[in-house]
Amino acid sequence: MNSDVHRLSREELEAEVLRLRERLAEQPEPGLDPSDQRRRSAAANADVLFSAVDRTSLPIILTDPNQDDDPIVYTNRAFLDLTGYDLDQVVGRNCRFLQGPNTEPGCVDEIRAALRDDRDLTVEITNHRRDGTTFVNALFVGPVFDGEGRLRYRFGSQIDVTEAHRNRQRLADSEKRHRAIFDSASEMAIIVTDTEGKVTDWNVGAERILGWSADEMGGQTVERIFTPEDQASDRAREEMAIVLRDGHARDVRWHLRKDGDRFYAVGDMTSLRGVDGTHQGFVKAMSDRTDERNIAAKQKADSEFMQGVLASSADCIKVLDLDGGLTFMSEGGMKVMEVGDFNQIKGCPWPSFWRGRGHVDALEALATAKRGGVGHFQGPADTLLGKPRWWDVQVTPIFGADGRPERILSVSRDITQQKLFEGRLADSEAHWRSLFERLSEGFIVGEVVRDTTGRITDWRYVDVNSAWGRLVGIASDSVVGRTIREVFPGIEDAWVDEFADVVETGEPVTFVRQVGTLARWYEGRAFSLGGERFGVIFLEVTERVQADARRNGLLEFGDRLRAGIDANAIAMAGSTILGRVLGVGRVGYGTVGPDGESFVVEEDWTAAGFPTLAGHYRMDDYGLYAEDLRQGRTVVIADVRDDPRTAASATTLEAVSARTLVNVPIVEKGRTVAVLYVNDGQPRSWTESEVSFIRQIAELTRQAVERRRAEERQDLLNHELSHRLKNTMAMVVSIAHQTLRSVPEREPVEAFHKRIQALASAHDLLLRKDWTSADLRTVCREVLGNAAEARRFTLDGPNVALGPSAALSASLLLHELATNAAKYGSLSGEEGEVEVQWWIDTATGEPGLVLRWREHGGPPVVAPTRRGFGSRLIRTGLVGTGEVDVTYDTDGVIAVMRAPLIEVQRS
Amino acid sequence: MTMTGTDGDEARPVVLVLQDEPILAGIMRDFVEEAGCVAVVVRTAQAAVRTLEERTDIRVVFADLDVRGSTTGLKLVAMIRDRWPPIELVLTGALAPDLDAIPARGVFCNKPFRESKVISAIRSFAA
Repeated sequence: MNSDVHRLSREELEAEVLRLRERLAEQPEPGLDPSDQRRRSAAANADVLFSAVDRTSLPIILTDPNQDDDPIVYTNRAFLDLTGYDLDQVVGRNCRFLQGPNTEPGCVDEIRAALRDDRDLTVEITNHRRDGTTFVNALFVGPVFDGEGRLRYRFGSQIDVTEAHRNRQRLADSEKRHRAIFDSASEMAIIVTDTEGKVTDWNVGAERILGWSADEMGGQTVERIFTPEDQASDRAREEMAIVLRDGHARDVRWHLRKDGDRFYAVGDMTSLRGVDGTHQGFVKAMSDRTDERNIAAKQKADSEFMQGVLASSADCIKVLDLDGGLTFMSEGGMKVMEVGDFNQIKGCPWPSFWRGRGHVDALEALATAKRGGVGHFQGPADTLLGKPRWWDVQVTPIFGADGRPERILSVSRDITQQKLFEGRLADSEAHWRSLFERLSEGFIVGEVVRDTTGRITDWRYVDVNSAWGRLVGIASDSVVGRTIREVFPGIEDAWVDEFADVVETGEPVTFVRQVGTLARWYEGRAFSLGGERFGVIFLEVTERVQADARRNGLLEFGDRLRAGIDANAIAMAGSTILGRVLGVGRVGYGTVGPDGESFVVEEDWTAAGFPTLAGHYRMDDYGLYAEDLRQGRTVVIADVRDDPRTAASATTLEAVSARTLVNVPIVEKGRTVAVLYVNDGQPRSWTESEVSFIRQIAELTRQAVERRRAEERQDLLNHELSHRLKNTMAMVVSIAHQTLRSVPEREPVEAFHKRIQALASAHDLLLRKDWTSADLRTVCREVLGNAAEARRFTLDGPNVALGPSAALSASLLLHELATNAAKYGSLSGEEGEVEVQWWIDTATGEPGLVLRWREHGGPPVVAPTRRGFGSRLIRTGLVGTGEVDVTYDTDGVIAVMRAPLIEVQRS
Repeated sequence: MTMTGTDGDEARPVVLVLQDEPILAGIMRDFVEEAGCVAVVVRTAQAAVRTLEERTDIRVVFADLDVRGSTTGLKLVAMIRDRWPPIELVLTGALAPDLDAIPARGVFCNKPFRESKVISAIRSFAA
């Protein structure tokens, strides 16, 4: 360092350093008077000080004003580094080499002046480095005096403040510009806050409009300018949140001035963003629109008021003071409130017109209006004459010129009718609801569910009554919101499709249908409720349907029995009907052996997929109930696992799918000969009607089988008898033939033969109908067919069934007539004919059968002189009544026979 | 089983008579002989079948449909029509069976017999 300091003696320098020490100590307070500085002193080691000066990064120079042109006599390393010059280029030269084209002339003048006056100076001046680049130099220059007060040196220190200077300049420019805007906008209050809403800037306009000065508001919360209502609702924070969310918040409302007055502000608040874009606070700009607002509000209020008065005479329009006292009531209002003279109620507190809840609501509405809001409620209040009325009330503030509610406008509308209707509606709802709940019929309100193609595939329970739950057996409150397919998985599609039709067509339907999974039947009616909804009202008719089914089953069984089927078919028909009506798995008959133990099933009726019981069994293998059956007692077991008679053999029974059973013994002559069994794979509690139905079928079957067996025995007997009878006749005829073979006169033999033949043919006819009856026409044809060609007879008459006796005698009678006709009458020649006519004669009271035999076309007739066996037969008549009239007309014989119909048909 | 035959009748047609009633069997045999045939009388359907199996010379069967036994007369004639189609049938019984049930070429003669009808039927079939 020493080497750096040229042209200055050591002594000289030390002396200067002492002075310098003082100066440097004063450096932080450059603004102080130099004389004061001088008075201060501090002791320090000179060596230490010198090295400090030399090494400091603060560029320092000393100039000697006593030499020509005030040359630099000392410089430290820092100065050389700053300026870029070498030591040689600096020492001995005047400082002005640092100046250049960008150096501010004003600054140079300032420095000159300070040097002239020997004053300290701090100035920022643009200097040039050796390479021509500029830097802003925060220059300090000051005189250094010796002990005698003579100017000895000048001290200079330089700091490159280029960056700082540049920033400060920019800031100043910006500040200036903004302040200008800020201040010029005195029409607009501009308030800047930090992120917390503390005021950081407050412009002239804000001072003017709000009354507070910038100083008064600096650091204060901006909420100070908010009305108490807004403060209470934390409006400031809400607005800030909106700004952060939306970028800005607009507000058009009342604000507070310093003096407590309100002004109506239209403003906008935005976020204040830092250079880096960070949110640094809020800027709120607002203007005072109180005047406009007041005028607008007044106009609005006035026009509304006037319109209200004019237009809604039915409304009761009142003006209240802020305490709620009545100051005005419209004419229409006085009418509906039945106020004769407004003075009666003038000043009365309006809320006191209301009672109970209405009073509370009125007070609340009034308070709301006083805060600037709109109160609204409905409530009952009597008219002045005591008529109860319902009112819909709107309570709004009327703002004064200061923007605060001044008076209150209350508009009440009479809604008594509406309320009455509502009340009735509610009553009616309650009425129907209770009816709905008390109904013994189930009630459903449903809503259809459609698939993506719009087809109805399901429906949802919207509401059901409690009867629904009873009838269906599911808790009513558990189904609302669920669909029928959810509630009843596997339900018949018809339960959806039919109601879908109701919704689609709007046409109601009546149904009787089973829910198979519930084994219950329902009868009801479904009807559209409009839109996607429908209603269903229904009853459970399971008992009735089952009773119908049982009755129909019995009728059907009766029909089957009349069809004359054999014993096995009867048993099968009964089983089928039982199985179908009861909806069980298996029904059949087993025959019990004489030992009371063996049990044989030939075949039985089974539902699809149910195993047959056909086979041989030992009754005791299936439980203790075998004894009941042997004793002739019907056995009913709901669940073979639970019944004491079958619990032990339940596995055996369940192996043949008999979880539940009804067994009815068939008793003949005191012994159980067969058992009708009804089985199913699921437990079942048998109703009395069901068991009695089973017993009825069993009994009918037993009777029918017994009757059929008797009939079969009878048929066998009849057949055997007729076989023997015919054999006997054949033998009689053959014996007669053989016996009379030698008799020369053949005629009587032949007559005998033919009479037997006639009898046999009647016998044949009767036998075909089980010996009950024979048709008259058939009798005629058979008998006459043996006598002559059919073409020579004319048969004419209604169908008449002859009893056995009448059939036999008519056959013989017709045979004799035909024989006579062939021998002497119309059939004796080639041309003659016989006309046989019969009819039912009712003319004489008791109906009678009349049969007329008329011959014609034969030879002339002569009455016989001798009466033979044939004639006597004819005269006995149809049933031996003798009512026969034979006329020997010349044209031919006419025979008319008559007999009471009842006799003719007697069996 | 009763079998009756007359020596030296080989030239005459043989008629099998099925009748369990002895007197009627005699009468029927008379008819057969009257018709110029030889009668072989059996009393059961089983015997009739055995006879038909043993003898090949039977041309006509004259049977009563009402004979008792495990096989009814009607079943027998159906079997005859099936196993021995050329054999002719003359049938009788207490009641004429359903016309459809009478095998083709069968004749039914009601009882009591009309001798002439029966004899002519046998005669025409045996010829």
